[in-house]
Amino acid sequence: MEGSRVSPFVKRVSLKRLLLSALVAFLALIGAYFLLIRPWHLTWGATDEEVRRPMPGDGIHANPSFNGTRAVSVEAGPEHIWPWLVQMGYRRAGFYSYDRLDNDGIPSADQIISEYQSLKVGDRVPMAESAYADYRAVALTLPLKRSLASRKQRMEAALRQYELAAGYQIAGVTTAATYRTADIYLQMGNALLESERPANLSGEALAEYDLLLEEQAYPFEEQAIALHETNIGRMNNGLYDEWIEQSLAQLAELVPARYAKQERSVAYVETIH
Amino acid sequence: MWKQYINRHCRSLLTVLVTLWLVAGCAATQESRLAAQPETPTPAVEESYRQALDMMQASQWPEARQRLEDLTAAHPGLAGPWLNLGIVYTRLGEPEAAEAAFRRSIENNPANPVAYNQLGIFYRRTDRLEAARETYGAALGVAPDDPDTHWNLGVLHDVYLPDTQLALFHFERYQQLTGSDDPQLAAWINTLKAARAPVDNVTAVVKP
Repeated sequence: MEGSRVSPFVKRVSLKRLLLSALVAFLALIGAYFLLIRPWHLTWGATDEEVRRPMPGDGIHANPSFNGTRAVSVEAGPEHIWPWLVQMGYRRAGFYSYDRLDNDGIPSADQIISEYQSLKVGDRVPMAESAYADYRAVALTLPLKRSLASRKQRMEAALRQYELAAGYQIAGVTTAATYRTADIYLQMGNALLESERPANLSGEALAEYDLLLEEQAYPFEEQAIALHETNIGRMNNGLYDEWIEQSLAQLAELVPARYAKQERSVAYVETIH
Repeated sequence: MWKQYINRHCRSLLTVLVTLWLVAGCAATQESRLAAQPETPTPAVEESYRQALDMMQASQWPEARQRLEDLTAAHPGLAGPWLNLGIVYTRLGEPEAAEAAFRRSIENNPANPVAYNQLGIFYRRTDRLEAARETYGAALGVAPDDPDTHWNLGVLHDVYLPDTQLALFHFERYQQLTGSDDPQLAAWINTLKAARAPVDNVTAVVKP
């Protein structure tokens, strides 16, 4: 009788202990994760020097939601690595990693895919399926002030990406970035010109509103022209690639008086002799 | 007798040497004559060249460069691979190599105006305007009726080395040679015609 009274007490104590130790173990695991595992995971493969070293793009985002430096050493020159890097992305070439986890189970590419080699502003490089809103998708509607702010923000984000790309100094990337940056400015100007007009305006008032818009759009066009000119200025160094070619075509449209007169050139010759 | 023996043998040795030298000389002249003749590419070379052209059309510049460098190394006497290699070098931003390749192409086939024009455009873009003018001039020397050369000279004299008369002459030649009805070209020609005789215009305004 006495023993039966004692035993539930003993049992209750051991249950409490069990719960307590489980809690302690759980907390210890969480602590271990944040103190040991997560730092290791966020710097996977990188040396301490690499973790401390400033990386291109560090300043782009003031409050990133994720910040990690992971490294894989590949014994090859940058010019051989770049084609593989530039094609990365969800449902693009994949991430050469755990495809089931990262790429919807689609195997990552095992070759260089020419369609993904020329990355330009506005191209999507998804990390995952996401509601990615192209900055171009923001049409300027009324109230202009609000839609303009939103579009400007997206434009600036895209511009920062291209500033970064231009800094890489890889032939073709710099000219592409310059072309695309110019294009972003031009589209900003065009979006202003095509923006929704207030319904209550007509006649002279509307004409005046149009004039104001043109004044607003003009600096963007100027900026675009200056950038395209920078790009074609690279011809003086003997470079002539598809982006310079496209900048020339744009200039021929924007400033026909100066740039429409272009030499007749050939892309290749058939004859072997 | 020994003397005679040595003499005779020396003479025959000399004869042998002279004969060898003559034969070698003949072989050398034959060799250089062969090199001077245009090379006839084998089907394999032509196939390789065609693949290089496909790479160029697909904008695969590094691959095309490799292929054309191989072709020009193995068959330096062909003009086409050099010309295309020059275009590829320009695309890859290697001006010195591009210029050298265009020049090699012209050396190998001085009759192709396209090579002169590529070199001329290259000079114009790298701001060597006088060299561009001379090179286009050389193109007209071998092909006086090549429309593109006239067009390029028109552009050169209209924009970069301004000479209204010359620009007008070459644009009009281009128009005649191609029968072009491009309204933009017609507008340029009209503008040049108006600019050519500013004095006449002024007198025309002043007279009445």
